[in-house]
Order: sequence, then C-alpha cells, then structure tokens
Amino acid sequence: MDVKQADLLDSEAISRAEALGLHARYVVEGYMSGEHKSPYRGFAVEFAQHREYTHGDDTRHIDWKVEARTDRLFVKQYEQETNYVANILLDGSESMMYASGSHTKLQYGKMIAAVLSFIILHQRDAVALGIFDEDIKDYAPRSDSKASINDIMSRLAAFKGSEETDIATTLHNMAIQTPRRGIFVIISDFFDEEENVMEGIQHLRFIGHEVIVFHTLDPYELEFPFNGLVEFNGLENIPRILTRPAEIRQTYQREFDAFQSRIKEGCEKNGVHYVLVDTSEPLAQIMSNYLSFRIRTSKGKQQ
Amino acid sequence: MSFLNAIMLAGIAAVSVPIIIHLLNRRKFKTITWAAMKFVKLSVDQNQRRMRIEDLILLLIRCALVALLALALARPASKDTVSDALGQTKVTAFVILDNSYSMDLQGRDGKNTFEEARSAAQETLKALPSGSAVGILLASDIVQGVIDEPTYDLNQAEQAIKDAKVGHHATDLYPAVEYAVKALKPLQTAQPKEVYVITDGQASGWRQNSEIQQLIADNKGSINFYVLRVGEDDFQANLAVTKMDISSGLTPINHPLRFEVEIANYGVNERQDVMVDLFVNDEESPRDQVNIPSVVAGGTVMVPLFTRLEKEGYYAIRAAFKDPEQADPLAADNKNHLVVRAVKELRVLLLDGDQKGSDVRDHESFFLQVALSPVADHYVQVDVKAPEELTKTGLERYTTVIMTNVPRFQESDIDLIKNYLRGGGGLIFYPGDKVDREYYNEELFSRHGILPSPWGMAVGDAGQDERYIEFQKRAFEHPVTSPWNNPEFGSLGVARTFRWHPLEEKVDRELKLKESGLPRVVLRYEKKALGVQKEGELGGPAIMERNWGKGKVYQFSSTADTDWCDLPIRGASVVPLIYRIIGSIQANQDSGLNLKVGQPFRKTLAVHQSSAEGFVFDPGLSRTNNLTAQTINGEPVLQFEDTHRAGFYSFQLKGRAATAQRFAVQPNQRESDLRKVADGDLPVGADVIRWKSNSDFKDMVQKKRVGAELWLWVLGIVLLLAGLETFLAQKFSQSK
Repeated sequence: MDVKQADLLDSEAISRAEALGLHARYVVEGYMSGEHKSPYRGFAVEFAQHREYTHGDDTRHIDWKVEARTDRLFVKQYEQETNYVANILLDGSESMMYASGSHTKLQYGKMIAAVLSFIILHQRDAVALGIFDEDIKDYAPRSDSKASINDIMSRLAAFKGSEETDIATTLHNMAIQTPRRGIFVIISDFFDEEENVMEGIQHLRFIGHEVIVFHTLDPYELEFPFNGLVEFNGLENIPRILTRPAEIRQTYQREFDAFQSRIKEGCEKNGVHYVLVDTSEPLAQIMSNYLSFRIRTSKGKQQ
Repeated sequence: MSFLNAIMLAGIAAVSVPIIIHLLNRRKFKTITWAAMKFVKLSVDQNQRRMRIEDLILLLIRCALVALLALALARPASKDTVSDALGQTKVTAFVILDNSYSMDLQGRDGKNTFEEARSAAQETLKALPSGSAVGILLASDIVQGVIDEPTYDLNQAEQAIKDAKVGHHATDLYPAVEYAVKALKPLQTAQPKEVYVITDGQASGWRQNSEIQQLIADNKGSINFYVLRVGEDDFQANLAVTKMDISSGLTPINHPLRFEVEIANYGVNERQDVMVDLFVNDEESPRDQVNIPSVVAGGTVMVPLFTRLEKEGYYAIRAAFKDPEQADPLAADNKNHLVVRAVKELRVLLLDGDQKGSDVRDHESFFLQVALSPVADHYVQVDVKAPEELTKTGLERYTTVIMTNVPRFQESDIDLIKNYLRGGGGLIFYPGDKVDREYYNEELFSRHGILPSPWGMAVGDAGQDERYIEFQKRAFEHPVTSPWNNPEFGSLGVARTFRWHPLEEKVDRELKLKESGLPRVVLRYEKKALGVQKEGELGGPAIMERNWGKGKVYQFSSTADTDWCDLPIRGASVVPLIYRIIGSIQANQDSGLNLKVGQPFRKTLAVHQSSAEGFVFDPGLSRTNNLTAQTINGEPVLQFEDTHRAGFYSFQLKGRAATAQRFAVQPNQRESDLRKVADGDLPVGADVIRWKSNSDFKDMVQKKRVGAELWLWVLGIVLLLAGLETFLAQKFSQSK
C-alpha cells in the first residue's frame, strides 16, 4: 500500500505526545547534552542550570524566585541531561499487512514510528530507524537533525513488506551493532517464535538498552469475529485452512490471549515496557496513554 | 409391516438431499486473507475431530429425518402390534343388517335375533377405529340405505342401528352386498374397506351365493368381508299361514264366502291338529275355524274357512293359528291378511254376436248367462245385448263386459272399450265362427294392445267328439286358477275342447303399448297330440289375460257356447272359473288394498282433491303417518311407501271419516323357511363369525386389518429428530 508521508504523522498524536515528551526511563548514555540523565556526568547532580520555560514543561519545576526577579519563567534543571539515541525497529513482515479496517498493522506501525521519530527529533535526541522482516530491509542511521525526519518519512512510506519475519535474528544483530546504551522501540505483531523473540529482547536488555515493545494487533485478531464457513488464506507460509470460525472462536481466543500474555509477561520480566496496540483505537490515545505512563514511572525512578 | 401408501416409499431416495446440500455447502465459503494463521491452525487442530463428528451426527439426523418423513407418508402399519395405544388404521365400512322377518325370531334362550343383530352391529361400530366412516344398510329383498354413504359420524350410525326395525320382507343379501361394494369401490382412499353382513344365516338369503362369491373374489384384497351369524345355530320348525284367497272370486253380501287358506310346515317333523281361525275386522271371536289333522314336514295343506259378510263395504279378513303353541316364535307368518270388498250386486254385460236363433239356448251367450246368474234375483245381474247396442250402452255400471262371438267393432266402440278399461273395467273375449280373426289380431291386438294374444288359425274339428284337448290338471300358476292345485277344489281337466284358436304366450315386446300390461297365461291345455292320451306335459295357453289401463282383459281360445268345447256345460268347472275371472277383475279394481311388503299404497284422488291430505295408521308401529297429495301420471295421488311390515293398515282422508278404509300387507312367504345355510356354503373369502360364541371379535377384525397404523409415531419421531437437530445444530455451532 502506498502511504503518503503526511499520512504517517498523526497531528493529534504528535501534539499530545510532544507535550509529554519521550523521556528515557533509565539513564542513557547520550552523545549530546539533552534532556536525559547521563551516567557519566558525575557532578552537578543537584542543580545544574536554569532553562527558559517552554510550553509543555512541568510547572512544578518553575523557579518562581527567578520569575520574581526577572518576570520570566525559568525551570530548574537538577542534573546533567544528555541526548539519547532511539532505535525504532518496525516489523515489515507480511503478517503486518493484515487489516480488518482501513489500516494494516504495518501502516499503523509506520504511524507509530513516524510520530515517535518526530517527537524524539523535536526533543533534540537522535533517532535511528530500522524496518525488518527476516532481516533489516531498510535502515536510517541515527541522526539528531530535525531535517532527518524527512528521510525517515520517505523510508517509511516507501517500504512494502513481503517476506516472512525473523524478529529474534534482527534483535540479536541490532544488539551487536549498537553497543552504546539507548532506547529500542520495537513495533511488531510478534507472530514469530516467542522464545526466540524474548531471547532477542533479553540480548538488548543485557547490553543495557531500554526496550519498548509496541505489540501491534488488529482488533479482528483479538476478537476473531467471523461466522459461516471461511477459508483462511495465510499471509505467511501456512496452508489454507477451511473451517467454521464461530465454532473454534473460544479456542482461538484462548490461544491468542495466552500468546499475548506470554509476550507481555516476558517483557515485564525483562523490564521492558509492553504496549498493546489495537489498530482500531486512535493512535493519539495510545501514544498519550503510554507517554503519561512513562512519565509516571520515570518520576518514581527520580524520587 | 405393510404400507398403505407404498408409493411414498420412493421418497426415501431423498435422503441424498441432505448429503448433497452438505457437499454443496462445503463449496460455498468466504475466503479471508489472515495473518494469525498459527492460532487458527492450533484451534482447528484441537477441534477438527469434534467438528467432524458433529457434522456427521447432524448429517445422519438430517438423512434420518428425510427417510422417516417418507416412511410416515407411506403410512406404515403393523399387524403385530397389539397395543391400542398405537391407534388403529381408519377404515371405511358398510354394516349390512339383515332386517328380514326371520330376524324377528324369538330364540330358545328368549333372545330376539334382531336384538342380537343390533348389538352385534353396535359392537361392530365400536370395533371400528376412531375416525372411520361407516354406512348402514338394512337388507332384505330390498335395500334400505339408512346411511347410504359412509359417514364419519359414528353416533349417527349408532342411532340408525337403534332405530332399525324388522321388516316383513324375505331375505336376499346380494343386492345389499352389491350396493356396498359399488359404494366402496370408487372411494379413492388408502383406508381399508370392510363390509359386515349381520344375518341369521337363513338359506334363502344366500340364494344368490355365487354372485356374492363373485363380488368377493373381484374385490379380494381391497375389501374385507365379514359374515356375522346371529341367532340360533340350528333352524327352528316354523308353521306358517302362507296364503289366503277367496275361492269364489266374488264377495256378495249375505252369501257364504269360502276362503282358501294355505298352511305350510317348514319343520322336519309332522305337525298334527293345527287349528286355524278366521277373523273378520277386529272381532275377537273367530267366524270360523278348522282343525287340520296333519301337516307333513315340508308340506302344505289348503283348508277352506267360511263366513258371510253382512253389508256392503271393505272387510279385513284374517286367518291365524288358534293355539298359541302353534303360534311359533316367528310371529309374522302366523297369520295372513286380506281386504275384500263386499258388494250387494254385480253387473255383467254379455255382448252376444250370435243371437240369430229364436231359441235362447242357441244364442252364443246362453250358457254363460245361466252360469253367471242362475236365478232371477241372483247377486250377479246379467244384461245381454247385441254388439251394435254397445255404443248406446253405458259400460261404467258393469263390472265386466263379455264379448261372445262378436264379429268386429266400430271405431267408436274401440274408444268406448278403451275408456272403460281405463276406468278399471274388465273385458272377456270369446272366439267363435263369426269372429273376424284378422280384424281382432290387427286392431285389438297389434294396434291397441287390448288382446293378450293374437288368435291363431283355428285348429281341431268341432264336428266330431273323439279328438279333443283338455285343460291342465296340475301346476296352476295364475291366481285365478291356483285353487285348482288343491284336488278338493275339483278339476278343470274334465272339460274337452275340440276346436280352438291357438294363443301365443311369447309376444313381441315391441308390440307392448303404453297402457298394455304384459300378457300372462291363466290356463293351459295339456300338451298332447289330438286323441293321444299322454298326460303330464303342459301345452299352449287356453286362457290369457293382460292389464290394460286400470282394467283387465281375458281372452279365451275357444267358444263361450258348446260349438267348439264342452266347458260351458261343465258347471263345476265353468262357474268357479268365470266367477274367479270376474272376481279377479273386481279385485283388480281393489288391488291397491292387498299389497306385498314394500309395495306402496296409492289412493288416487279426484282432480279437485289435488291438495287433499290423508293419514295412514300403522298398527305394527302404533304410528300415524301424514300424507300429502302428489301428482303421479297426471293424477293427484296420496302415496304411502313405508309398507315394510305385514298386517292391516288404516287409511283416511283428513277430516273425512267416511273415507276410512283398510289395506292389507302380506309378508313374503319365502321367508318362512328358516333353514340355515351351512358355514361351508357361505362365500369363500368372507370371514364367518358366530356371534354367540365369539368373544374376541374386536381383536379379530383389528388383526385382520392392516394392523396398527404407525405413521403418527413415525411423525412423532420425525418431530423429535427435528427438535434434536435444531438443538444440536445450535449447540454445535456454539463457540468452543
């Protein structure tokens, strides 16, 4: 499906997400001074500097004394903040091509990737984008230039998935190729061998990366609402199956729920943020829900 | 197991329909491109076996549904089923109830045979499965369709049986069986058809046994026949008053009248000292009685009984057994009835065609005149006139007009004669040498149909006395001559005939004209060559008669005087013969008063009485029946048809007591012979059931039928399966 670049940027999602910002949940090793804690700073842990208040900053950090003197709003920065690299990995395999509604899972994943890229670049952090199926098929090297958003958009729009997926191999390769700690955002339906996938995620976590999983699923895959006699034609290499889905719905749902639970539990066990993405839900809602959750959890960390 | 509608079994082939639908449905599916295939595969793998089994169960149920529905439509029935709970096959039946008067017999056990027959009929109705249709016929020698088309209203049938009465007809079961078969045969129903004949098994009722046998054979397999025998197994002796006739023919007042009464013994033992009484009207004391010393088994005895009637009018004469012991249990034939009209005088006109001699003894009619009216003030008044006087003579006042040797008639005479006959008059024609035979044959026989026979060319020689022919001496069949069957009555055979015109008894029926009745032989000659004495064989007719209009015409083959025969001078023969002939003419005028059972009573009214009403009282049923005038053959008539019981009935025009008169109805004497038919002589193919000894009639006929019909049960199973199929289909389609 040909997707225009503009379609990838959900303006509402961006406006909501931008306000919240994408904060690294853990201290990351940035190569530029940014908004993220750096483990290599080693000083000025309590107060670092003032920074002029911008729209979206937490009002609790405003230094009212400075405001009284200068009539301008400044926020206090307590620690050295650093730039981080967000590696966004989008599953472009054939299973991501399924859509019960107007958007395939791949399209929805592209939108997530686009929005996240836009926000991260807007925060002056760096973004690297990888689109994979059996292997990385397209890769945008890391960049903190806002102008690189166009490159990312072009790559996302141009990509058309076709092959089978092999998430684990991709994750292992990325773990080896990215020794510096950063953030890995994985957008996939994870229709692969679950154990291998979890091993890949564990590899990333072992190196110290923060990993965020956007488990992208179509509502029909969750509900399996078909009736009558249906022939299911597999998007990946599974033969056609003729059955009456209504009569196996409960079994399907049970198995699918178990699959989803295993992914989720595997993520949580490895300290990975798991976000279930139902492609029937508005992207803005999903992004804002996750980012607010992320802020809450990062605060807990700070305290 | 049998099937009432076997053709529907072909519907079982429709079991392929669910299979075909199943296969076709498997080719009708949606295709969905799907990503999460491994979960679908996982789910299918877990459920495939179960789904296949469920599919198979549903397919089998659907096939069974179709097969069982076809089976139900084929209406299976099982003979093996003894349970009433399964319901019996509905039938269409006729119950033929013998109501001849032998059924009125009182059995030795005190039970009336007809009562027993009625209860057998009621039990037959009860043995019919619910929803059956039944017709009820009363059978004797007539068929009374009480319910002539099968009705589903068994209460109506039950009431019809309750209301059924014994008639006094003889039995002939064939017409009723034929009626039932004709009614049942065209019915387009798969229901079994049955005919029940409930009878006492009197042999005479089965005299058309071969025809009944043929009916049963022709309908084998489609109609079941049952003969339910009621009453005594063996026959009872029966003594009957079988006939009563007035021997003198005429019924003048204050003259001794002789009634010939025939007693028949239908038993196997001789009956002795049989007393017979003669009653007039409602008198309690008999006018006369006679003791018959002996009536041999199977024999008959004719006895005379005498009385005088005092004044003009109608009299009800009854001959009955005196001794109640002789009045055996079959009451209907223990008496006989006759209505006679007593007259003060009777007028006869003699038209003499040969009065040329000065001596009246030479006149053609002389001997007849003497025979009819021997004394001056005799009750028979005779007028002798020449043929040419006919035109100016009013014939209406004469009971009989006798033509002796009248050569021919004017055309106007013919009209006069025909009108006279239409009014009930009687004519007697004698031939003679002056008679224009050709004219008679052409005009009176062929053209007007008045003569019973043409006169043939005269044979014999009247000029000699050695070669002659004699009248028959036995086997008299005509009512006029039947008394001569009794030797005590005398003999007609002594009279000799030397010359005669042969009469033809086989007349071309095409010559039968509108108002002419069929010719009958009254008296025959012996069959023997002239002069050759060989008695025993009957020859050609000597006297013939026929009805014409309401009147009667007699025709002699020889002369009224002694020119050709010596009958006129044989007083012992000619007087009773001519009296009985005139008497029969008079009786013919009153013929409507002595009827056979079932023959309607008709009272012809004057034209102005077209709206008259009358009533008939039936003493047998103590019932008064109202009559309204109807038009029959252009005449207003009061008609009463329910004359199925013997006895005297009373008729009267409403409001006119003076018109009261009685009429008599005689039973059919054939019914008095109570001999039974053996079971082995009954038609093959009919189930014969002795009602007295049969206690499991219902069970027997039910088994004889196709048994219990099972379609309702099969349909019940179909409905259960349909419900099960719906339930399972829903259950199986639930998500698992």
